[in-house]
Amino acid sequence: MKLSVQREDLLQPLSKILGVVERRQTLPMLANVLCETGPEGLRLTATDLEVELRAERPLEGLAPGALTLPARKLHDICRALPEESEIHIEASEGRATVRSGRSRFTLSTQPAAEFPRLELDAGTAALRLPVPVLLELIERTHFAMAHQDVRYYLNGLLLEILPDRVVAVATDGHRLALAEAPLATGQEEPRQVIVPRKGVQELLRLLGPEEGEAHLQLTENHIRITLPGLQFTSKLIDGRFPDYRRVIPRDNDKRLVADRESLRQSLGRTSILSNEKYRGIRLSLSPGSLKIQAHNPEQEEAEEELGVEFEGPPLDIGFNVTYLLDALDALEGEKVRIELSDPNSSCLIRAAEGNSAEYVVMPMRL
Amino acid sequence: MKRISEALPWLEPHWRRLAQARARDRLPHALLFEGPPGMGKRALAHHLARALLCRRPSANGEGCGTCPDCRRLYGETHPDFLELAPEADRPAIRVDQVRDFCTRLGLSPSAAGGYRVALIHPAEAMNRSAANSLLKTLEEPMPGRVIVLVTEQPGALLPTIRSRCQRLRFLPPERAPVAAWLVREQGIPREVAETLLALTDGAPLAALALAEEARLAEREAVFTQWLGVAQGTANPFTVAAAWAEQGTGPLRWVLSWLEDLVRLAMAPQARIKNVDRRPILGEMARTLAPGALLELHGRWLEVLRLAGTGVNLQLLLEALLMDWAALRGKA
Repeated sequence: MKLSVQREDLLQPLSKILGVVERRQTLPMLANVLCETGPEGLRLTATDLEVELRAERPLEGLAPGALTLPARKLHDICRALPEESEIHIEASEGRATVRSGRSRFTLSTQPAAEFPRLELDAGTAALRLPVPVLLELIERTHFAMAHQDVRYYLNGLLLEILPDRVVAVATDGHRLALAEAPLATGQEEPRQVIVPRKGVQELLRLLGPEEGEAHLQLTENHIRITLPGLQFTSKLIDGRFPDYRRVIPRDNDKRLVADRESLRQSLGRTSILSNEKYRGIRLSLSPGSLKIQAHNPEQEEAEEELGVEFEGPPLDIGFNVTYLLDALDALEGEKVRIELSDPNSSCLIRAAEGNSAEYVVMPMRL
Repeated sequence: MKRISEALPWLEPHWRRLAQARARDRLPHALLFEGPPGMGKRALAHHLARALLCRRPSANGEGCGTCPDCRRLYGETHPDFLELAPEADRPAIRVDQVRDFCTRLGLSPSAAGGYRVALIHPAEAMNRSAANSLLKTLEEPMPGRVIVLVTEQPGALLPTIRSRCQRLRFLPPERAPVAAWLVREQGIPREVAETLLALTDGAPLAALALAEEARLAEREAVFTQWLGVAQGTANPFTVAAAWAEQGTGPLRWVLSWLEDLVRLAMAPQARIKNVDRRPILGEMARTLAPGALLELHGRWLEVLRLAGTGVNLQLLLEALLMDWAALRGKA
């Protein structure tokens, strides 16, 4: 097959899908990207057998054809070529030639017919939602996903489709993040899927700030999200996510309202002298004021005081400061509200106004 | 695709056990295949994977070899077949690999209600912490998951791993039918087939590998050189230089002859590995003391152990061959 294309028309879609190609890939086929051409234009596909990414570029005048090329090498070559240069690719007998100006590269190629594709199984549920809504759902929760936890169902992001809203939840057993988007989903029955961690990370790279619609398809074993010019398909985690509703404390009666940015900065400074491994800090609440303390094994100490809205009896409670900072970073709004009960119970962090995201953090014994 | 009766006939009883267990829906979720190298443990694991993932399995439960699933298994790009092995240039399976493996095992199968099959080999390459992080997954299997652990040293596995698996032992089969298989399916002459099996302790695939890698020619050449050094017709330094370039192959051959020499020196009728060399080895053994041979064997073994550690193999081989020449000279 033959293909002539401008550098940007190849580089831009290629860099979108490159992340899924493992750096140290032992199977040559999986280190390759599938390039298909047709009347609709150029289509690139990459996969690691768990996540499949596809990028399309509408181009005219391309003859139908397909070939595979080493993804990272092709990307590095395209990137190193001068801007707006014309690239010619030609394949024959197990080799592919990439030419541009006076440069010439011969690359290995694998039979395109054997490129593995994720085949969607039956049982599709479909819904549409604006890209910014999907991006926000993920950005506000993904950091709380577990990593290589033996409870394998925590190593991903729960997406729950309810008739009137979409919910995203992630937890690693120490903290939980939840975000909701009100939306008429057209689904009668609630539906839960767990998207694996790697899929979530690739999805985040694909979702740009631009407007547009995302088309979600859920099957028994897969999720597919179609974005303008891009398609994301992933296997699901085959397990049951814990009932997150039981984890969210609804009866915490002690409420603290603080300026989000000042609290974030105070915590950030104090955390410098917290134990590097456990990251513990102590919050001491008294009416109208919050004292933050940290110390480390070298007996170094940090202390800050912050004016806050708080009524009620004094309270001392310890937290992993990283979890608090993650939550404060992901929230929006000027003021943050933290609901507490006692030193042994979890707290609920949310914006003082609006209710799109909630964070539950377990306390630490100090 | 080849049926088990053609590809691995000596494993038919094992296969029948697995196929029957599956037919009764009692296939264990964790299997431990244990036995000496070259018995076909991994081959059977792959055969099982094809059987479980094939879309059109045959009546006796084997994979068809032509459907998209079977073809992908051959191309090693089947999304429901996982392999856990040491990474290139590393001896051990790391704990991170195991954790990642457990997460991947938890992903959904491609087809609704389908299997996900995993192969861990060599299982003893998991160090203690790696093995420990596999325990939970071995103990509480998700439905539709089959994990096959393959090992040549079951004793090197944690008891907690062994006890969570259904064990299947692979012992060397009777020689005659395997020799017949080597002749029939692989086109190897009968006398050669018997020699091959004797050299590999009756492990069929090891025998086949010897034949395919033209190792017998190497053995022939090494034997001539070794004999030449002993008889004073070959220069030990030239031979050492040639062997050092061939890696540990010549060392292993000499070790197997020394072992046979020790056996013959103690009992002229002893059972030996190198059956085709019995006359000449027997002749040599008559003039050598078992004690001296044992000591020599120990020194060659030590060099084999050192060979992978970056020592100068040629220097060590020179010393060994000079001793060998001296020993024969005395006799």
